[in-house]
Amino acid sequence: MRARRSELSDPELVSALAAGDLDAMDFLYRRYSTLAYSLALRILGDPGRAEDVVQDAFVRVWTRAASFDASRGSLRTWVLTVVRNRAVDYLRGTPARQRDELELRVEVRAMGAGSDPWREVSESLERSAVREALGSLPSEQRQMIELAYYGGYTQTEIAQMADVPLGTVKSRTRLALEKLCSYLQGRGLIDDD
Amino acid sequence: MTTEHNELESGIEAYLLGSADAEEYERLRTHIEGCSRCRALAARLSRGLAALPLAPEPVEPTAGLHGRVLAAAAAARAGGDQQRSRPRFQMQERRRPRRVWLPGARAALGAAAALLFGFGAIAGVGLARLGPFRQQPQTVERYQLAGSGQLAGVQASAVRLRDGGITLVEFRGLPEPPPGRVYELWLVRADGGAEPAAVFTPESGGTRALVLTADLSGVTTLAVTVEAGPNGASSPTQEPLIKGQIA
Repeated sequence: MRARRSELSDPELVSALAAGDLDAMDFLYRRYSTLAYSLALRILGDPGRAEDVVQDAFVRVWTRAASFDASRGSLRTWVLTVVRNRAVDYLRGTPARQRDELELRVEVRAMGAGSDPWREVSESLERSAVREALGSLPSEQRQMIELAYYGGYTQTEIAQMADVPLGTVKSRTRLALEKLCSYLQGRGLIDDD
Repeated sequence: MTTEHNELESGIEAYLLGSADAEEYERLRTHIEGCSRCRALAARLSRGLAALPLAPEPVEPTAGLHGRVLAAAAAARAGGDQQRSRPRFQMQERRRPRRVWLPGARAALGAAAALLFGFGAIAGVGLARLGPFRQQPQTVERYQLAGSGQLAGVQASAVRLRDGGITLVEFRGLPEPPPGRVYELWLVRADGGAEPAAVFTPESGGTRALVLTADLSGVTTLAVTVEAGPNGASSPTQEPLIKGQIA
């Protein structure tokens, strides 16, 4: 790899990962380790376990890089999806499920791609926007997201915990995701439908 | 839309959040693949979902995780049937003739260093926290490097995965080099010959992890000096400030 770290695009980085280039793995880690660890720590609440999950997730990305299709989503989202799924599996004490994290076509547009300083700035702005979006949700909808996404609870479990019907959990979760989507579209962070 | 369809559609969030059980997950997955309306809905909802990982407060992992991730990746690669990549270095590739260590006495550098700095013993330990890769046996050697002078407080270690041809070198407590200077890592042979391996500066917190994939056959010692930046030197211009035996 000759290009400066900050100039590598996702397809270039994935191509190098698929070729078994450890420098590429080093770049991937430097680029996404903070986001990955922060997410795992948020879900697990234990620094050691969070690091285990992050290690497992990065290696999964490393071994499956050849399967990645850039047209279906960003490398960042893939990495973070794997981290979240591994963390939830850890929470639930279940072995890693054969979920195909690659099938999710998800995207949050990064504002200002390019060099590392600008990447940090854009990620900071994205984080602020997402927190604002979550904060704008009615508490009962935010609770659904917190329990399902960060807590790893099933909808049936959430219904029992919140003492509401399963249908209410489903509808509140749907509304929460719809509102998140609309908020972020309004901020230009995700594409319109 | 049928009742069955409405029921499946109402399960899209569970599918996206991974909270459906295995049987329901496959039902939903099959349905979404075959239903354009639900596929569009899933795509839309997943956009909101994709933002959620960005909400947690940023927290840095420990410096050691970096090395463990690279070691696990190297172990995974070594466990496969991939050809070993051509030797290259972390920061800069060098193809310069071997240089003899200068200044000062150079003969038996490795043995002298061991006497002066008391390097730790070779420990054939498995790397901790390798997760599923614990099951893959690897010849792993761990070495301690020691600093002197202005770098006496630096903690450094090397983890050598012989089967994978990978050596990880980690530094902690590394101060910033003087302006215009960089640290340079050298591969030193028994006869004192030193080859440049990498130039580097510490990251925030004084840590740095380097991955060496060069052939270390015949290399007995790793050593670090401070050299002129940004590209370092072709041969060491001072006695090593950090060094340790790796053979």
